[in-house]
Amino acid sequence: MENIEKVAEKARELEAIYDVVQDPLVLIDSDFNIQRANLATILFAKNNKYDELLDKKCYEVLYQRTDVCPYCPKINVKSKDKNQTSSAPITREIFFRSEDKKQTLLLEFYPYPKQEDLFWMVEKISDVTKQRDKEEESFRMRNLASLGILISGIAHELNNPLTGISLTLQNLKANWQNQPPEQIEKRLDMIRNDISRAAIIVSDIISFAKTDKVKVTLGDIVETINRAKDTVIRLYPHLSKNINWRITCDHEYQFPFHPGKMERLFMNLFRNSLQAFDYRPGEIAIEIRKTKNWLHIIVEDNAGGIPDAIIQKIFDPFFTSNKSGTGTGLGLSICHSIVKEHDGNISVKSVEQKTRFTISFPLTNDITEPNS
Amino acid sequence: MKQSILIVEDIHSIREAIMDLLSAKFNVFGAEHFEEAVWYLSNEKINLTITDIRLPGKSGIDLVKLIQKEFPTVQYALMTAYNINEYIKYAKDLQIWNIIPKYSFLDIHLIEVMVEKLLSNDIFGIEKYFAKDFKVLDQNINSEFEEAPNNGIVYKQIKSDQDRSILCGKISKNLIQLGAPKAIQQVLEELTSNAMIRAPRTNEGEYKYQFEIPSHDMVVPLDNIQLMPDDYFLIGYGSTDSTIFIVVRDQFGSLRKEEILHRLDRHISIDETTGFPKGLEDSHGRGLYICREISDQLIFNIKPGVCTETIAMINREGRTGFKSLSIYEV
Repeated sequence: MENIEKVAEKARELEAIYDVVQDPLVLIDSDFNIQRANLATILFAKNNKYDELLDKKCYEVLYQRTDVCPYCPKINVKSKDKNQTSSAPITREIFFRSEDKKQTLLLEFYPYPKQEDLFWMVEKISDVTKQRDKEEESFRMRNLASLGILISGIAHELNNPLTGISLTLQNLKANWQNQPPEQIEKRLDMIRNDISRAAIIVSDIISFAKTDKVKVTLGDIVETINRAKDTVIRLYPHLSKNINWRITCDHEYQFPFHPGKMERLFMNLFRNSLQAFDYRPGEIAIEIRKTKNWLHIIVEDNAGGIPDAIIQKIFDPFFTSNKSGTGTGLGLSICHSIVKEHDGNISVKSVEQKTRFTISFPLTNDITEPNS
Repeated sequence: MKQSILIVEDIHSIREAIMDLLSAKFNVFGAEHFEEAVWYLSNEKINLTITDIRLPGKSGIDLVKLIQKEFPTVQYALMTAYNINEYIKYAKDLQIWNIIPKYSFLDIHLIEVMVEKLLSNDIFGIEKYFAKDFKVLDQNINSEFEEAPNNGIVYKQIKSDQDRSILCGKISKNLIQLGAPKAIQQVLEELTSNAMIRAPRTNEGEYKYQFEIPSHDMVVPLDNIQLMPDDYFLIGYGSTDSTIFIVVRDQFGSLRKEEILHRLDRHISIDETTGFPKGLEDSHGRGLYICREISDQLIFNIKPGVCTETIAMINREGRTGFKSLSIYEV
């Protein structure tokens, strides 16, 4: 009798401990019947006394369902999987509406080995509504901050070519009648280049805002890379003045891709390199190599490399290492999505003042190598 | 002999456009960055350098510092696509008097006017900013208010507080009808009170029409000021198709150009310790700051001891960008 008294007292002590826990704790047997519950569970289930909870289906009294919850991990159900004895809980996050309150609940399920091959489970229910709202809010704020960076970047990036066009046009308007045709043509070319720059910024934003399905056509990747190089040289004649370009490939490689996007991918990479060189002389080396199932394009520059601290972030949208207020921070993020749209991979390595981007595209059988 | 100008700007089309503009009257050189600019400064006889502030590598500010040290006879002006207010502190500390905003509505003619003013002793007159057919009516300065001709300016004389309040009332009404913001009243009030109360000083530098109360850190103007016969000032007003303007011209030239930057800076630059501009705590110099905020262009032309001319321009088409810094002295 004394022993029974002692056990009963221990039970009351344990009860006292788990009753002070503010989150519902429920022990559920293998038939989804509630076997034990703390005080908070009674409050959570509403209008129920402790006795009315016992031996009731957990999904009925806790969640007002007629059948097992669809997200139930069912670790109490007979299973041969021995891994379930691990102490880490299985978690679920659910939206739950009780009366007119909408809550976000975090459910944690801990297995309780009742007998061999028989598990019950302990369910802990936490209301994380406030926490999630806060997180949501801070996420929105971060987005707004990025938007601010993006907008001021775009405004500045567009301002430069627009100012160039505007001043050039004012000159042309005042002088076109007494200028030799070459002079006029030179100015028209400057306007054309400024417009291309502005157009690229706009198309960056559009392609970032919506990813349309890529329409691929069979194209020559080497030719596309050359075209990207030429465009970048045309748009940045001074930045690229002291750059030595080296393109190595042993074949022409044709495979299906979106020519415009592919050109953009390499233009963005080249432009970044040029900006990293910052008028210094240097080399941009492009190597195109084929392995059995992949086509690898390696773009390497010796412009100083990327610091370890930021190399993880360079593909993130809005990330920019440019002096404040310039650049949209979208360039490499766009590269990343173009590569992904073509089912490829892009990775970056930076050692000894060099930066190396490796872009790989999977090859299907329809690759043709005219020279082989 | 043609004077020589160096344009330092990394954006090709902008640099070329400015060089095109100036090449008819001047020898013009173009540089993309600091090092190239230094080469031209060392190898050519440059009279004026116009440099972008933000350049690849060393900045236009660095270039100004170098010019002051190594080439003290070379004049300089800056350009930027960023908010010029952010550079007011630099301007104050480094004695930079002219910064042009680069934006797409920038009238390229403004650059030409700036260059000509900097390279000559001829800085006065709003007509420089407009076409040849701009009309200046400065004969009937003693008569009553009259409307300015379209594409022109009319000047009137102010000799007393009474003149001032009557004329300013009529001018502001007239300019508001032409599309100026109501705040133009404030610009008139500030510029004319500067010319009337602050500008007139004795040879010893004492204010003629206001007295100081040092214990309260205040200056108080006299009541019902009647200016001495030689102390009058002129107010001009008018419009063109694109611009509405006010010109105030005194006969003292007592406003120092350092003083202008000092006053603007204390209302623009943030004081690190409080997080607010210093000028919030008092009212010294707020007038100029307010005039600059309301106008799209506020231009100061100063001949010390002779004349201060302040020009406030407002664009009628709302084509505004960041405000320039335009201070000229001969």
